[in-house]
Amino acid sequence: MRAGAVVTALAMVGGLSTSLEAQVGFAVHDRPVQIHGFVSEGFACSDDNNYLRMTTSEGSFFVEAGVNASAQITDRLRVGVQIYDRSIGELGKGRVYLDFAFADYRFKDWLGIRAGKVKTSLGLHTDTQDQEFLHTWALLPQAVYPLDLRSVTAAHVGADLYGHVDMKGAGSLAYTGYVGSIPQDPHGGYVYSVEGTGGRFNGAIEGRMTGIDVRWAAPVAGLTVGTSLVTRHRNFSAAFDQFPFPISYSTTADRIAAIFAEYTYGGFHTEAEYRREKRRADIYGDIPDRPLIGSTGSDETAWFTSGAYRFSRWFEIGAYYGHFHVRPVGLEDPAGGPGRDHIDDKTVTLRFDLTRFWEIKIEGHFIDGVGNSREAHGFYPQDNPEGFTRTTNMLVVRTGFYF
Amino acid sequence: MRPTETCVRVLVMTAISLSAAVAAPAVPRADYKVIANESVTVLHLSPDELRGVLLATRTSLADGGHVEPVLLRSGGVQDAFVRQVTGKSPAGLENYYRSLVFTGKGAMPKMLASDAAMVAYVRVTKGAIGYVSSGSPTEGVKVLELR
Repeated sequence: MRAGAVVTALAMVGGLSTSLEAQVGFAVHDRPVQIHGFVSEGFACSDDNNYLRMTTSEGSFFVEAGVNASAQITDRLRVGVQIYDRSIGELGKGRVYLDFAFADYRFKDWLGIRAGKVKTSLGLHTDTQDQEFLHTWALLPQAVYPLDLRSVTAAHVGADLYGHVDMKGAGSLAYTGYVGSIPQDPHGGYVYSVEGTGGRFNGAIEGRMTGIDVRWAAPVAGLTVGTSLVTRHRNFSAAFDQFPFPISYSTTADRIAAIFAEYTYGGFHTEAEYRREKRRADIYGDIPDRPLIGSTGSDETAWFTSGAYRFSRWFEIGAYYGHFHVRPVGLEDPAGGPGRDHIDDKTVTLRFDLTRFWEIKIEGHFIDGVGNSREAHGFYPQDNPEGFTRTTNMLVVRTGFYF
Repeated sequence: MRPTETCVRVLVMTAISLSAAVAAPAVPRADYKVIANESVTVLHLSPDELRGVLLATRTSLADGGHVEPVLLRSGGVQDAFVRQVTGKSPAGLENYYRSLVFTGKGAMPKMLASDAAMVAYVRVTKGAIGYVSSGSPTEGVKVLELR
C-alpha cells in the first residue's frame, strides 16, 4: 500500500518535473537557504535466495527518501541538515534518520573544518551511497558498498579537517581527515548479522573511527585517483545461545585500506575500487573476572570494476563486476561450506533519464556465493530458513525523483 | 583471487584509462568569455583557477575575495565550455554538484537560462564568476583574461 502510494506520488511529481526548477529555496536576512530532496522507489525479485533483508524471492518493493536544507551564513561558514528515511525490507523500517547535520568553516581553500554528523569520505561512493540517482546503478556494487551496512558506514559524528590544494599543472589534491563515533542503527545489517548467529544485544554498540582520504585529480581531465585508510573500534555486550553467560566483544584491530580510480571521457565513465579490511576482536565473559573466551575476526577483500556509456541525455548503459571474499579467523564459523566465503556479482544496467529530475533503471544481477554468516553482506539466515542456494539471479527496477 | 592479482588488475585498468586519456583527441575549443562581478579585482585567471572556481574547490582568487560560480543551464556556449574546462559533460557537472549537495559538501550554484541572464546576474552579485559566448554583450561586468 505504502509502496503503491509512493509510486503514484512519484508519477505525479515526475510528470510535473519538466516544469520545475532545480533550485528550490528561500532567503533569511538576504542569505539564501537551499532545499533539495529525493524519493526513490524500487522493486526487486530474485529466483531463489532472499537478499538485502527483503523477500525478493516473492518480489519486494522498497523505498528511500531524503530532504536537506543548507545555508551559507557567511563567505566562510556554511550549515546544513539532511534527514533520510528508508524501508528496504527489514532495513530502516521507515525510521527517520538524521543523515547529516553540520557546521562547516572554511579558513582557506586548503583548510576547512566540518563538525557534527558528517558524511564519511572513504573510497569512491561511501558518502553518496544513499543517493542512487547520482549513480548509473540501481544498487551500487554490494561487494564494496553493502546496502545493509550503509547506515553505519555513510556518516560519523565528529569532525573533519579538509582541504584542496592546486599543484600548478600537476592537477590538484583533495584531502579529508576525520575522527568521530560510528552511528548506531537498530534496523541495520550489523545488528541483524549478530542476531542471525543467535545473538541478542545487551545495550548499545559503542564505536569510533579515525580516517584519512586523499584523492588526486590528475591534469588529464576526467581522471581521479585516490586512497583511504580507516581504523575503527567497536565494543558491545550480547547474549548468545552457545554461551551460558553474556559476553562482551571488543575489537583489538579493525583497519580498512582502499585504493580507487575513476575516469570520464565524453559519454564514457569507468571506475574501480579495491578494499582490504582486517578485523580482530577479543570475546570476554561478562561475569566477574571477565575470562577471555577467545579471539575472532576476519580478513576481507572487496573490489569492483565498472564501465558505463551514456548514449544521449536520456539513455545510459553500464555493467560492473564486484567481488567480496571473507576469511573468518578464530572461533569456528557456524555455517561454513561452499559459497560461504565469497559473493561475486555481475550486473548490467539500463538507465533512462526521463527528465532532468526523474530517472528509471532496469538492472540484472547474477550473483554467485552468499558470503559468511558473520559478515552478512545481504544474505541473512533469518530470511532464508531453508538454507541458501549458491547462486542468485535478481532483477531490480528502480525510479527516482530528485530536485 | 589473490590480493596481488587484484591489485595488478586495478592498476592495469588505471593505466589503460590514462593511456586512453592521453591518446584522446582534444575537445573542440569553446568560443567564450569569462566574466566577473566588478568586486573581483583580479584581471586574469589560469585554467586551473577557472576549473577550481567552476568545481567549487576554489572559493577565493589571488585578491583574497570570495568568489562563486554561475552556470548556464543549457544552450549557447555551455556544452563546449563545461567539457573544455572541467572535463565533464554538462549533465556530469550537474551530477557533481548534486553529489556535493547531498553529502553536505557544497551548494548548487545559480544556473541561468541565457547569456543575457548570466550578464545581468553577474553584474549585481558580489564575487560572481560566469561565462558567455564571445559575441555576447558584457556591459557592466568585467571580462577576465585566461592565461
